[in-house]
Amino acid sequence: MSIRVFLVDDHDLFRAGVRTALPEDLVVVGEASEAGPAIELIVERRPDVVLLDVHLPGGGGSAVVRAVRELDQEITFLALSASDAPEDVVAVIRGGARGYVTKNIAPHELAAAIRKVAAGDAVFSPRLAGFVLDAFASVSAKDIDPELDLLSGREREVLQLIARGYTYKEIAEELFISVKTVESHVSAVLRKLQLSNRHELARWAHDRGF
Amino acid sequence: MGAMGLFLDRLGKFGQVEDLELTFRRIAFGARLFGLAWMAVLAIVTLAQGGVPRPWVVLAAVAAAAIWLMVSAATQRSDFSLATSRASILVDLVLAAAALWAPRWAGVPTALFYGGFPLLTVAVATVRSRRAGWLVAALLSVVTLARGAFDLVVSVSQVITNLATAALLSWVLEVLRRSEATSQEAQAARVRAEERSAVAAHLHDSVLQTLALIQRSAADPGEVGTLARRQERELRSWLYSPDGKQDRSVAAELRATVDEVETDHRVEVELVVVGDGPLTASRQSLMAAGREALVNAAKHSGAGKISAYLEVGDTTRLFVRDRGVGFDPAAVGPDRHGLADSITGRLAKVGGRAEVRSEVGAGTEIRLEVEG
Repeated sequence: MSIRVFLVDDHDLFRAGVRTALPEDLVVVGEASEAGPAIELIVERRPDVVLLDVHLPGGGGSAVVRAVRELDQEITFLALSASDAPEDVVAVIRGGARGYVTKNIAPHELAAAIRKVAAGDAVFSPRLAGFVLDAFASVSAKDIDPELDLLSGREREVLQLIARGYTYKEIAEELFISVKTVESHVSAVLRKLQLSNRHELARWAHDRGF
Repeated sequence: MGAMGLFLDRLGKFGQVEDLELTFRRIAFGARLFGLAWMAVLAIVTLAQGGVPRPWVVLAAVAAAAIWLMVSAATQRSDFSLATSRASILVDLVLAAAALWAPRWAGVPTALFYGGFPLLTVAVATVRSRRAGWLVAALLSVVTLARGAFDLVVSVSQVITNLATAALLSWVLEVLRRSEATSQEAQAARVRAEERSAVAAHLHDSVLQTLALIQRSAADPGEVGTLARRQERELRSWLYSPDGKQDRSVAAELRATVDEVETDHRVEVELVVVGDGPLTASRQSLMAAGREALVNAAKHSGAGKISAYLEVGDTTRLFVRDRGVGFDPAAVGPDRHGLADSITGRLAKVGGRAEVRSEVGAGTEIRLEVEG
Protein backbone atom coordinates (compact mmCIF):
# COMPACT_ATOMS: atom_id res chain seq x y z
CA MET A 1 0.00 0.00 0.00
CA SER A 2 1.32 3.40 -0.84
CA ILE A 3 2.02 6.07 1.73
CA ARG A 4 0.66 9.56 1.13
CA VAL A 5 3.29 12.18 1.86
CA PHE A 6 2.96 15.94 2.25
CA LEU A 7 5.99 18.24 1.94
CA VAL A 8 6.38 21.43 3.95
CA ASP A 9 9.57 23.33 3.19
CA ASP A 10 10.24 26.88 2.12
CA HIS A 11 12.98 25.84 -0.31
CA ASP A 12 11.44 25.01 -3.69
CA LEU A 13 14.59 23.22 -4.76
CA PHE A 14 14.57 20.99 -1.73
CA ARG A 15 10.93 20.03 -2.27
CA ALA A 16 11.62 19.28 -5.93
CA GLY A 17 14.59 17.15 -4.89
CA VAL A 18 12.56 15.14 -2.40
CA ARG A 19 9.73 14.69 -4.90
CA THR A 20 12.00 13.15 -7.50
CA ALA A 21 13.99 11.12 -5.00
CA LEU A 22 11.08 9.36 -3.32
CA PRO A 23 10.23 5.85 -4.58
CA GLU A 24 6.89 5.21 -6.25
CA ASP A 25 5.05 3.90 -3.23
CA LEU A 26 5.58 7.21 -1.43
CA VAL A 27 3.11 9.52 -3.15
CA VAL A 28 3.42 13.27 -2.66
CA VAL A 29 -0.15 14.53 -2.22
CA GLY A 30 0.63 18.15 -1.52
CA GLU A 31 3.22 20.79 -0.77
CA ALA A 32 3.39 24.03 1.12
CA SER A 33 6.10 26.57 1.78
CA GLU A 34 4.61 28.46 4.70
CA ALA A 35 3.06 27.55 8.03
CA GLY A 36 -0.43 28.98 7.47
CA PRO A 37 -1.22 27.37 4.10
CA ALA A 38 0.51 24.19 5.27
CA ILE A 39 -1.90 23.76 8.17
CA GLU A 40 -4.98 24.23 5.95
CA LEU A 41 -3.79 21.92 3.20
CA ILE A 42 -2.63 19.18 5.55
CA VAL A 43 -5.93 19.10 7.38
CA GLU A 44 -7.76 19.05 4.06
CA ARG A 45 -5.70 16.35 2.32
CA ARG A 46 -4.98 14.18 5.36
CA PRO A 47 -1.65 12.68 4.31
CA ASP A 48 -0.16 9.72 6.18
CA VAL A 49 3.14 11.48 6.78
CA VAL A 50 4.10 15.16 6.70
CA LEU A 51 7.74 15.90 5.98
CA LEU A 52 8.18 19.12 7.90
CA ASP A 53 11.01 21.60 7.78
CA VAL A 54 11.87 22.82 11.28
CA HIS A 55 12.44 26.36 10.05
CA LEU A 56 9.48 27.87 8.29
CA PRO A 57 8.29 31.37 7.56
CA GLY A 58 5.13 32.18 9.50
CA GLY A 59 5.57 30.29 12.74
CA GLY A 60 8.13 27.51 12.42
CA GLY A 61 7.59 23.81 12.19
CA SER A 62 6.42 23.37 15.77
CA ALA A 63 3.44 25.68 15.14
CA VAL A 64 2.34 23.49 12.22
CA VAL A 65 2.62 20.27 14.23
CA ARG A 66 0.67 21.69 17.14
CA ALA A 67 -2.08 23.21 15.01
CA VAL A 68 -2.59 20.11 12.88
CA ARG A 69 -2.43 17.67 15.75
CA GLU A 70 -5.08 19.61 17.61
CA LEU A 71 -7.44 18.98 14.69
CA ASP A 72 -6.27 15.57 13.56
CA GLN A 73 -4.23 13.17 15.66
CA GLU A 74 -3.96 10.64 12.82
CA ILE A 75 -1.44 12.61 10.82
CA THR A 76 2.17 11.75 11.50
CA PHE A 77 5.06 14.19 11.23
CA LEU A 78 8.69 13.61 10.37
CA ALA A 79 10.76 16.72 11.03
CA LEU A 80 13.81 17.55 9.02
CA SER A 81 16.18 20.46 8.91
CA ALA A 82 19.62 21.67 8.08
CA SER A 83 19.72 23.62 11.30
CA ASP A 84 21.80 23.04 14.35
CA ALA A 85 19.58 24.89 16.80
CA PRO A 86 18.58 22.12 19.24
CA GLU A 87 15.73 24.00 20.85
CA ASP A 88 13.88 24.30 17.53
CA VAL A 89 14.27 20.62 16.82
CA VAL A 90 13.20 19.63 20.30
CA ALA A 91 10.20 21.99 20.02
CA VAL A 92 8.97 20.19 16.91
CA ILE A 93 9.43 16.79 18.54
CA ARG A 94 7.63 17.97 21.65
CA GLY A 95 4.87 19.32 19.43
CA GLY A 96 4.24 15.76 18.28
CA ALA A 97 6.61 14.88 15.43
CA ARG A 98 7.54 11.18 15.37
CA GLY A 99 11.11 11.73 14.36
CA TYR A 100 13.81 14.00 13.07
CA VAL A 101 16.35 13.58 10.30
CA THR A 102 18.86 15.99 8.80
CA LYS A 103 18.53 17.26 5.26
CA ASN A 104 21.74 15.62 4.11
CA ILE A 105 20.10 12.22 4.57
CA ALA A 106 20.44 9.83 1.62
CA PRO A 107 17.19 9.36 -0.40
CA HIS A 108 16.80 5.68 0.48
CA GLU A 109 17.28 6.49 4.16
CA LEU A 110 14.66 9.21 3.93
CA ALA A 111 12.22 6.77 2.35
CA ALA A 112 12.96 4.25 5.10
CA ALA A 113 12.40 6.92 7.76
CA ILE A 114 9.06 7.89 6.21
CA ARG A 115 7.92 4.25 6.19
CA LYS A 116 9.01 3.89 9.77
CA VAL A 117 7.04 6.86 11.13
CA ALA A 118 4.07 5.83 8.98
CA ALA A 119 4.20 2.45 10.74
CA GLY A 120 4.09 4.20 14.08
CA ASP A 121 7.77 3.96 15.00
CA ALA A 122 10.00 6.79 16.05
CA VAL A 123 12.94 7.87 13.93
CA PHE A 124 15.91 9.34 15.69
CA SER A 125 18.85 10.62 13.72
CA PRO A 126 22.20 10.66 15.54
CA ARG A 127 21.86 14.40 15.93
CA LEU A 128 18.45 14.18 17.54
CA ALA A 129 19.71 11.48 19.88
CA GLY A 130 22.48 13.88 20.89
CA PHE A 131 20.03 16.72 21.51
CA VAL A 132 17.82 14.52 23.62
CA LEU A 133 20.71 13.19 25.70
CA ASP A 134 21.87 16.73 26.19
CA ALA A 135 18.42 17.90 27.23
CA PHE A 136 17.89 15.14 29.77
CA ALA A 137 21.46 15.24 31.06
CA SER A 138 21.27 18.89 31.99
CA VAL A 139 18.00 18.64 33.87
CA SER A 140 19.11 18.58 37.47
CA ALA A 141 18.01 15.69 39.65
CA LYS A 142 15.90 17.67 42.08
CA ASP A 143 13.53 18.93 39.38
CA ILE A 144 12.90 15.55 37.96
CA ASP A 145 9.50 13.99 37.89
CA PRO A 146 10.62 10.38 38.19
CA GLU A 147 7.68 9.09 36.16
CA LEU A 148 8.55 11.08 33.10
CA ASP A 149 11.76 12.91 33.11
CA LEU A 150 14.45 10.34 33.67
CA LEU A 151 15.71 8.19 30.88
CA SER A 152 16.25 4.63 31.97
CA GLY A 153 19.76 3.24 31.70
CA ARG A 154 18.68 1.18 28.72
CA GLU A 155 17.10 4.13 26.96
CA ARG A 156 20.24 6.14 27.49
CA GLU A 157 22.35 3.32 26.06
CA VAL A 158 20.11 3.10 23.01
CA LEU A 159 20.31 6.84 22.43
CA GLN A 160 24.09 6.82 22.83
CA LEU A 161 24.39 4.08 20.25
CA ILE A 162 22.14 5.99 17.85
CA ALA A 163 24.34 9.03 18.39
CA ARG A 164 27.38 6.88 17.62
CA GLY A 165 25.89 6.03 14.24
CA TYR A 166 24.47 2.57 14.95
CA THR A 167 21.39 1.35 13.13
CA TYR A 168 18.55 -0.20 15.11
CA LYS A 169 19.71 -3.62 13.96
CA GLU A 170 23.27 -2.98 15.12
CA ILE A 171 21.99 -1.68 18.44
CA ALA A 172 19.94 -4.82 18.89
CA GLU A 173 23.03 -6.95 18.30
CA GLU A 174 25.20 -4.83 20.56
CA LEU A 175 22.75 -4.98 23.47
CA PHE A 176 21.54 -8.53 22.84
CA ILE A 177 17.95 -7.44 22.45
CA SER A 178 15.48 -7.55 19.56
CA VAL A 179 14.99 -4.77 17.04
CA LYS A 180 11.41 -4.46 18.30
CA THR A 181 12.74 -3.78 21.79
CA VAL A 182 15.06 -1.10 20.43
CA GLU A 183 12.09 0.48 18.70
CA SER A 184 10.03 0.43 21.85
CA HIS A 185 12.86 2.09 23.80
CA VAL A 186 13.05 4.84 21.21
CA SER A 187 9.28 5.32 21.31
CA ALA A 188 9.43 5.53 25.09
CA VAL A 189 12.08 8.25 24.87
CA LEU A 190 9.91 10.13 22.41
CA ARG A 191 6.96 9.91 24.76
CA LYS A 192 9.00 11.15 27.71
CA LEU A 193 10.31 14.01 25.64
CA GLN A 194 6.79 15.00 24.64
CA LEU A 195 5.38 14.76 28.15
CA SER A 196 8.24 16.00 30.30
CA ASN A 197 8.03 19.23 32.17
CA ARG A 198 8.03 22.20 29.85
CA HIS A 199 9.88 24.36 32.33
CA GLU A 200 12.95 22.13 32.57
CA LEU A 201 13.43 21.95 28.83
CA ALA A 202 12.93 25.66 28.56
CA ARG A 203 15.74 26.09 31.02
CA TRP A 204 17.85 23.66 29.10
CA ALA A 205 17.39 25.79 25.99
CA HIS A 206 18.16 28.89 28.02
CA ASP A 207 21.33 27.40 29.51
CA ARG A 208 22.56 26.60 26.05
CA GLY A 209 22.27 30.26 25.23
CA PHE A 210 19.20 30.27 23.05
CA MET B 1 18.79 36.10 12.39
CA GLY B 2 21.12 35.79 15.36
CA ALA B 3 23.67 38.41 14.48
CA MET B 4 21.07 40.99 13.58
CA GLY B 5 19.05 40.40 16.73
CA LEU B 6 22.13 40.76 18.84
CA PHE B 7 22.89 44.01 17.17
CA LEU B 8 19.43 45.43 17.79
CA ASP B 9 19.69 44.43 21.44
CA ARG B 10 22.88 46.34 21.72
CA LEU B 11 21.36 49.33 19.97
CA GLY B 12 18.51 49.31 22.49
CA LYS B 13 20.99 49.65 25.31
CA PHE B 14 22.35 52.87 23.88
CA GLY B 15 18.97 54.44 24.69
CA GLN B 16 19.82 57.90 23.44
CA VAL B 17 16.41 59.39 24.10
CA GLU B 18 16.70 58.22 27.66
CA ASP B 19 20.06 59.95 27.96
CA LEU B 20 18.47 63.21 26.87
CA GLU B 21 15.64 62.83 29.39
CA LEU B 22 18.18 62.09 32.09
CA THR B 23 19.97 65.31 31.26
CA PHE B 24 16.69 67.23 31.44
CA ARG B 25 15.93 65.75 34.83
CA ARG B 26 19.37 66.61 36.06
CA ILE B 27 18.89 70.19 34.89
CA ALA B 28 15.48 70.28 36.63
CA PHE B 29 17.11 69.04 39.82
CA GLY B 30 19.76 71.78 39.56
CA ALA B 31 17.11 74.42 38.88
CA ARG B 32 15.19 73.42 42.00
CA LEU B 33 18.27 73.60 44.22
CA PHE B 34 19.21 76.93 42.70
CA GLY B 35 15.71 78.35 43.24
CA LEU B 36 15.65 77.21 46.87
CA ALA B 37 19.09 78.62 47.57
CA TRP B 38 18.09 81.90 45.93
CA MET B 39 15.06 82.17 48.21
CA ALA B 40 17.06 81.30 51.32
CA VAL B 41 19.72 83.94 50.59
CA LEU B 42 17.15 86.71 49.94
CA ALA B 43 15.19 85.72 53.06
CA ILE B 44 18.30 85.97 55.22
CA VAL B 45 19.15 89.36 53.70
CA THR B 46 15.58 90.52 54.41
CA LEU B 47 15.91 89.46 58.05
CA ALA B 48 19.32 91.12 58.36
CA GLN B 49 17.90 94.43 57.15
CA GLY B 50 15.50 94.33 60.09
CA GLY B 51 12.08 95.95 60.37
CA VAL B 52 10.17 92.74 59.76
CA PRO B 53 7.10 92.61 62.05
CA ARG B 54 6.82 88.80 62.04
CA PRO B 55 10.33 87.48 61.39
CA TRP B 56 9.34 83.88 62.23
CA VAL B 57 7.43 83.69 58.93
CA VAL B 58 10.61 84.46 57.04
CA LEU B 59 12.50 81.98 59.21
CA ALA B 60 9.85 79.38 58.49
CA ALA B 61 10.24 79.98 54.77
CA VAL B 62 14.01 79.55 55.05
CA ALA B 63 13.56 76.39 57.14
CA ALA B 64 11.06 74.90 54.68
CA ALA B 65 13.39 75.67 51.78
CA ALA B 66 16.34 74.15 53.64
CA ILE B 67 14.42 70.96 54.46
CA TRP B 68 13.17 70.51 50.92
CA LEU B 69 16.69 71.22 49.66
CA MET B 70 18.10 68.45 51.80
CA VAL B 71 15.29 66.00 51.09
CA SER B 72 15.55 66.45 47.37
CA ALA B 73 19.34 66.30 47.43
CA ALA B 74 19.22 63.10 49.47
CA THR B 75 16.60 61.32 47.37
CA GLN B 76 17.55 62.53 43.95
CA ARG B 77 21.27 62.84 43.80
CA SER B 78 21.81 59.32 42.52
CA ASP B 79 18.52 58.84 40.74
CA PHE B 80 17.20 61.84 38.92
CA SER B 81 14.04 60.02 37.98
CA LEU B 82 12.41 61.65 41.02
CA ALA B 83 13.45 65.16 40.00
CA THR B 84 10.39 65.69 37.82
CA SER B 85 8.06 63.32 39.65
CA ARG B 86 4.54 64.46 40.41
CA ALA B 87 5.26 64.52 44.16
CA SER B 88 8.35 66.72 43.78
CA ILE B 89 6.46 69.17 41.62
CA LEU B 90 3.58 69.22 44.07
CA VAL B 91 5.96 70.06 46.96
CA ASP B 92 7.54 72.76 44.80
CA LEU B 93 4.11 74.15 44.01
CA VAL B 94 3.00 74.30 47.66
CA LEU B 95 6.29 75.86 48.76
CA ALA B 96 6.21 78.42 45.94
CA ALA B 97 2.59 79.38 46.68
CA ALA B 98 3.44 79.75 50.36
CA ALA B 99 6.54 81.78 49.50
CA LEU B 100 4.48 84.10 47.31
CA TRP B 101 2.17 84.72 50.24
CA ALA B 102 4.93 84.89 52.88
CA PRO B 103 5.78 88.62 52.51
CA ARG B 104 2.20 89.46 53.50
CA TRP B 105 2.21 87.09 56.47
CA ALA B 106 5.53 88.54 57.57
CA GLY B 107 4.11 92.05 57.40
CA VAL B 108 6.50 93.25 54.69
CA PRO B 109 4.44 92.86 51.51
CA THR B 110 7.05 94.58 49.36
CA ALA B 111 9.93 92.28 50.30
CA LEU B 112 9.91 89.76 47.47
CA PHE B 113 12.32 87.37 49.19
CA TYR B 114 11.07 84.31 47.32
CA GLY B 115 13.33 85.40 44.47
CA GLY B 116 13.21 83.16 41.39
CA PHE B 117 11.81 80.10 43.16
CA PRO B 118 8.25 80.26 41.74
CA LEU B 119 9.62 80.83 38.27
CA LEU B 120 12.00 77.88 38.50
CA THR B 121 9.09 75.78 39.79
CA VAL B 122 7.30 76.53 36.53
CA ALA B 123 10.45 75.54 34.64
CA VAL B 124 10.80 72.20 36.48
CA ALA B 125 7.12 71.37 35.86
CA THR B 126 7.56 72.21 32.17
CA VAL B 127 10.40 69.69 31.95
CA ARG B 128 7.96 67.04 33.16
CA SER B 129 5.40 67.93 30.51
CA ARG B 130 3.93 70.89 28.71
CA ARG B 131 0.66 70.39 30.53
CA ALA B 132 2.26 70.32 33.99
CA GLY B 133 4.17 73.48 33.09
CA TRP B 134 1.04 75.36 32.08
CA LEU B 135 -0.87 74.12 35.12
CA VAL B 136 1.81 75.21 37.60
CA ALA B 137 2.27 78.54 35.82
CA ALA B 138 -1.47 79.19 35.91
CA LEU B 139 -1.85 78.23 39.60
CA LEU B 140 1.11 80.37 40.70
CA SER B 141 -0.22 83.26 38.59
CA VAL B 142 -3.56 83.02 40.38
CA VAL B 143 -1.76 83.08 43.74
CA THR B 144 0.38 86.01 42.62
CA LEU B 145 -2.64 88.06 41.60
CA ALA B 146 -4.77 86.95 44.56
CA ARG B 147 -2.29 87.89 47.29
CA GLY B 148 -3.39 91.53 46.74
CA ALA B 149 -1.72 94.16 44.70
CA PHE B 150 0.99 96.01 46.56
CA ASP B 151 2.24 96.76 43.09
CA LEU B 152 0.12 95.51 40.23
CA VAL B 153 2.92 96.03 37.72
CA VAL B 154 5.21 93.67 39.62
CA SER B 155 2.48 91.04 39.94
CA VAL B 156 1.48 91.22 36.28
CA SER B 157 5.09 91.06 35.20
CA GLN B 158 5.54 87.95 37.33
CA VAL B 159 2.47 86.35 35.77
CA ILE B 160 3.76 87.14 32.29
CA THR B 161 7.18 85.74 33.17
CA ASN B 162 5.60 82.50 34.46
CA LEU B 163 3.49 82.00 31.35
CA ALA B 164 6.30 82.96 28.98
CA THR B 165 8.66 80.51 30.71
CA ALA B 166 6.15 77.68 30.36
CA ALA B 167 5.54 78.52 26.69
CA LEU B 168 9.12 79.10 25.58
CA LEU B 169 10.68 76.31 27.60
CA SER B 170 8.16 73.70 26.45
CA TRP B 171 8.81 74.78 22.89
CA VAL B 172 12.58 74.47 23.28
CA LEU B 173 12.23 71.07 24.96
CA GLU B 174 10.00 69.81 22.20
CA VAL B 175 12.46 70.89 19.53
CA LEU B 176 15.29 69.17 21.41
CA ARG B 177 13.32 65.96 21.93
CA ARG B 178 12.24 65.82 18.33
CA SER B 179 15.73 66.38 16.98
CA GLU B 180 17.06 63.74 19.34
CA ALA B 181 14.51 61.23 18.08
CA THR B 182 15.41 62.09 14.49
CA SER B 183 19.11 61.68 15.10
CA GLN B 184 18.50 58.40 16.85
CA GLU B 185 16.53 57.14 13.89
CA ALA B 186 19.35 58.22 11.64
CA GLN B 187 21.79 56.41 13.91
CA ALA B 188 19.68 53.24 13.80
CA ALA B 189 19.46 53.49 10.03
CA ARG B 190 23.21 53.87 9.82
CA VAL B 191 23.72 50.87 12.06
CA ARG B 192 21.35 48.84 9.89
CA ALA B 193 23.17 49.91 6.76
CA GLU B 194 26.50 48.97 8.32
CA GLU B 195 25.13 45.62 9.39
CA ARG B 196 23.78 44.99 5.92
CA SER B 197 27.07 45.81 4.28
CA ALA B 198 28.88 43.59 6.80
CA VAL B 199 26.51 40.76 5.87
CA ALA B 200 27.07 41.45 2.18
CA ALA B 201 30.83 41.50 2.68
CA HIS B 202 30.74 38.26 4.58
CA LEU B 203 28.57 36.54 1.99
CA HIS B 204 30.86 37.79 -0.71
CA ASP B 205 34.00 36.53 0.99
CA SER B 206 32.56 33.18 1.91
CA VAL B 207 29.47 32.02 0.06
CA LEU B 208 30.11 33.63 -3.31
CA GLN B 209 33.72 32.46 -3.31
CA THR B 210 32.63 28.94 -2.52
CA LEU B 211 29.98 29.00 -5.23
CA ALA B 212 32.65 30.07 -7.71
CA LEU B 213 34.88 27.21 -6.56
CA ILE B 214 31.98 24.78 -6.84
CA GLN B 215 31.29 25.88 -10.42
CA ARG B 216 34.91 25.36 -11.28
CA SER B 217 35.02 21.89 -9.76
CA ALA B 218 31.63 20.80 -11.05
CA ALA B 219 33.21 17.70 -12.59
CA ASP B 220 34.43 16.49 -9.20
CA PRO B 221 31.49 15.52 -6.98
CA GLY B 222 33.73 14.78 -3.98
CA GLU B 223 35.28 18.22 -4.09
CA VAL B 224 31.88 19.86 -4.54
CA GLY B 225 30.51 18.03 -1.52
CA THR B 226 33.47 18.99 0.63
CA LEU B 227 33.26 22.64 -0.39
CA ALA B 228 29.53 22.74 0.24
CA ARG B 229 29.83 21.13 3.66
CA ARG B 230 32.62 23.39 4.76
CA GLN B 231 30.70 26.45 3.61
CA GLU B 232 27.56 25.26 5.32
CA ARG B 233 29.38 24.79 8.59
CA GLU B 234 31.12 28.12 8.34
CA LEU B 235 27.91 29.95 7.53
CA ARG B 236 26.02 28.26 10.32
CA SER B 237 28.63 29.06 12.94
CA TRP B 238 28.62 32.64 11.72
CA LEU B 239 24.83 32.85 11.95
CA TYR B 240 24.37 31.17 15.27
CA SER B 241 27.42 32.05 17.32
CA PRO B 242 27.49 35.41 19.07
CA ASP B 243 30.20 37.73 17.75
CA GLY B 244 33.67 37.14 18.99
CA LYS B 245 32.76 34.26 21.24
CA GLN B 246 35.86 32.23 20.69
CA ASP B 247 36.40 30.23 23.84
CA ARG B 248 38.12 26.99 23.13
CA SER B 249 35.77 24.39 24.49
CA VAL B 250 36.30 20.70 23.93
CA ALA B 251 33.28 20.62 21.59
CA ALA B 252 34.60 23.56 19.57
CA GLU B 253 37.99 21.89 19.34
CA LEU B 254 36.47 18.67 18.01
CA ARG B 255 34.33 20.58 15.52
CA ALA B 256 37.43 22.31 14.19
CA THR B 257 39.23 18.97 13.93
CA VAL B 258 36.30 17.39 12.12
CA ASP B 259 36.25 20.34 9.73
CA GLU B 260 39.87 19.84 8.87
CA VAL B 261 39.56 16.10 8.40
CA GLU B 262 36.51 16.54 6.17
CA THR B 263 38.34 19.07 4.05
CA ASP B 264 41.63 17.23 3.85
CA HIS B 265 40.25 13.77 3.21
CA ARG B 266 36.96 14.40 1.48
CA VAL B 267 34.82 12.39 3.81
CA GLU B 268 31.65 13.29 5.59
CA VAL B 269 31.73 13.17 9.37
CA GLU B 270 28.43 13.04 11.21
CA LEU B 271 29.37 14.66 14.50
CA VAL B 272 27.16 14.53 17.58
CA VAL B 273 28.19 16.25 20.78
CA VAL B 274 26.53 15.93 24.16
CA GLY B 275 27.61 18.37 26.85
CA ASP B 276 30.62 20.63 26.70
CA GLY B 277 33.39 21.89 28.89
CA PRO B 278 36.81 23.49 28.94
CA LEU B 279 39.65 21.91 27.07
CA THR B 280 41.66 20.41 29.92
CA ALA B 281 45.00 18.70 29.42
CA SER B 282 43.50 15.23 29.41
CA ARG B 283 40.75 16.27 27.03
CA GLN B 284 43.42 17.77 24.81
CA SER B 285 45.05 14.35 24.62
CA LEU B 286 41.66 12.87 23.85
CA MET B 287 41.23 15.33 21.00
CA ALA B 288 44.66 14.49 19.59
CA ALA B 289 43.88 10.78 19.76
CA GLY B 290 40.47 11.44 18.22
CA ARG B 291 42.03 13.30 15.33
CA GLU B 292 44.25 10.30 14.68
CA ALA B 293 41.22 8.00 14.78
CA LEU B 294 39.32 10.24 12.35
CA VAL B 295 42.26 10.48 9.97
CA ASN B 296 42.76 6.72 10.08
CA ALA B 297 39.11 6.13 9.29
CA ALA B 298 39.21 8.67 6.48
CA LYS B 299 42.40 7.28 4.97
CA HIS B 300 42.05 3.54 5.40
CA SER B 301 38.42 2.55 5.85
CA GLY B 302 37.24 3.48 2.38
CA ALA B 303 33.93 4.60 3.90
CA GLY B 304 32.48 7.88 2.67
CA LYS B 305 30.91 8.66 6.00
CA ILE B 306 32.27 8.55 9.53
CA SER B 307 30.25 8.87 12.71
CA ALA B 308 31.79 10.70 15.65
CA TYR B 309 30.14 10.98 19.04
CA LEU B 310 31.55 13.04 21.90
CA GLU B 311 30.16 12.92 25.39
CA VAL B 312 31.61 15.48 27.78
CA GLY B 313 31.32 14.92 31.51
CA ASP B 314 33.30 13.62 34.47
CA THR B 315 34.45 11.03 32.01
CA THR B 316 34.78 12.33 28.49
CA ARG B 317 34.24 9.78 25.75
CA LEU B 318 34.78 9.93 22.05
CA PHE B 319 33.59 7.29 19.59
CA VAL B 320 34.73 7.21 15.99
CA ARG B 321 32.99 4.74 13.78
CA ASP B 322 33.06 3.85 10.14
CA ARG B 323 31.42 1.16 8.05
CA GLY B 324 34.46 0.64 5.89
CA VAL B 325 36.70 -2.30 5.13
CA GLY B 326 37.73 -2.95 8.74
CA PHE B 327 40.72 -5.00 9.82
CA ASP B 328 41.68 -7.70 12.26
CA PRO B 329 42.99 -5.93 15.38
CA ALA B 330 44.88 -9.04 16.47
CA ALA B 331 46.81 -9.10 13.22
CA VAL B 332 48.08 -5.55 13.52
CA GLY B 333 51.72 -5.54 14.48
CA PRO B 334 52.84 -3.52 17.48
CA ASP B 335 54.84 -1.36 15.09
CA ARG B 336 51.78 0.28 13.58
CA HIS B 337 52.30 3.81 14.69
CA GLY B 338 48.90 5.35 14.24
CA LEU B 339 47.15 3.13 16.70
CA ALA B 340 49.91 2.29 19.14
CA ASP B 341 51.54 5.66 19.72
CA SER B 342 49.10 8.29 18.67
CA ILE B 343 46.03 6.76 20.17
CA THR B 344 46.71 4.20 22.88
CA GLY B 345 50.00 5.69 24.08
CA ARG B 346 48.75 9.23 24.14
CA LEU B 347 45.74 8.32 26.23
CA ALA B 348 47.69 6.04 28.59
CA LYS B 349 49.86 9.01 29.52
CA VAL B 350 46.86 10.88 30.93
CA GLY B 351 45.23 7.81 32.44
CA GLY B 352 42.77 7.33 29.60
CA ARG B 353 41.73 4.26 27.68
CA ALA B 354 41.38 3.30 24.06
CA GLU B 355 39.58 0.33 22.64
CA VAL B 356 39.45 -0.74 19.03
CA ARG B 357 36.69 -2.88 17.64
CA SER B 358 37.03 -3.88 14.06
CA GLU B 359 36.01 -6.68 11.83
CA VAL B 360 37.06 -7.26 8.28
CA GLY B 361 34.22 -6.09 6.05
CA ALA B 362 32.14 -4.60 8.85
CA GLY B 363 34.05 -1.46 9.69
CA THR B 364 35.77 -0.10 12.75
CA GLU B 365 34.85 1.64 15.92
CA ILE B 366 37.44 3.33 18.10
CA ARG B 367 36.35 4.13 21.64
CA LEU B 368 38.37 6.64 23.58
CA GLU B 369 37.90 7.95 27.06
CA VAL B 370 39.65 10.10 29.64
CA GLU B 371 38.72 11.19 33.14
CA GLY B 372 37.94 14.89 33.50
